Amino acid sequence: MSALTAAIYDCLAGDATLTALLSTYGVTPAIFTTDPAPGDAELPYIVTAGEVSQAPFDTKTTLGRTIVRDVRCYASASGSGITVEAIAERVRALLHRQALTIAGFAWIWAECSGPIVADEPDAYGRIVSVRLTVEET
Amino acid sequence: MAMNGTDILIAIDGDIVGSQRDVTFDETTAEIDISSKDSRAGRYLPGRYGATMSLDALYVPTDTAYLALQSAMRDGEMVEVWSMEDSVVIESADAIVTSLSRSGPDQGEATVSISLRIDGEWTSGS
Repeated sequence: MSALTAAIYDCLAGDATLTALLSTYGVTPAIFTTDPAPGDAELPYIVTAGEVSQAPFDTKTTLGRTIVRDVRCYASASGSGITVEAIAERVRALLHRQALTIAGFAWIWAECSGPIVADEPDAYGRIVSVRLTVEET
Repeated sequence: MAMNGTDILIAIDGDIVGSQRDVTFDETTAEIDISSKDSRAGRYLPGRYGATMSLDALYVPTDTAYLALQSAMRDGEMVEVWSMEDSVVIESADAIVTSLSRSGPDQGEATVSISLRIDGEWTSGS
């Protein structure tokens, strides 16, 4: 797991309010950093696997990057979007303008867009996209 | 061979300015018009020489070189500027800080822009 992935995972998995909304996989909250989620994973869960984009945030004397990562939230298609929306809003609250501790990097800023609807035939989905700018330390 | 602007750096009082993004050097010579009725062609002599430079960088509050520039600006003192290419000091000069601005946009990188006027002229090396 990369330092950036680990930072986002730790932020989400370390929040009791969010994990209370999710199922568990084994003994850990159902937050997956691989895509697709394991076949035996139970809803609700979160998938955040890799960056949508990575762009340099360099100067003449420093290296950095701006990444965009999707955090996809899923819950059962039970007839109500309450659960999936609560999960997505909590993800946004945890990442939007919030400083992350990232090994080897200094956080500069983070900004979320969404949640946007990403429903699937068997599950309700919401996507929160986080744009994160960091500088190598 | 052309060179990458990345390899052109500025140091202030011996410390490289951190997180530099851009630098511009300007040199000017005033024109002294000695044209006369003797000839239709304009005639000129080189007049006052001047040199300035401007620097853009990310705002790093603890950067030693930035703090030296800020102190020089506020205390009305000179700084020593080194122009470096490929980590070698090519030229140096004393300078006064003529402007220093700091920008802090919401959810964007904080930056500084600094202008200096060279006292005298650039000299080779440090």
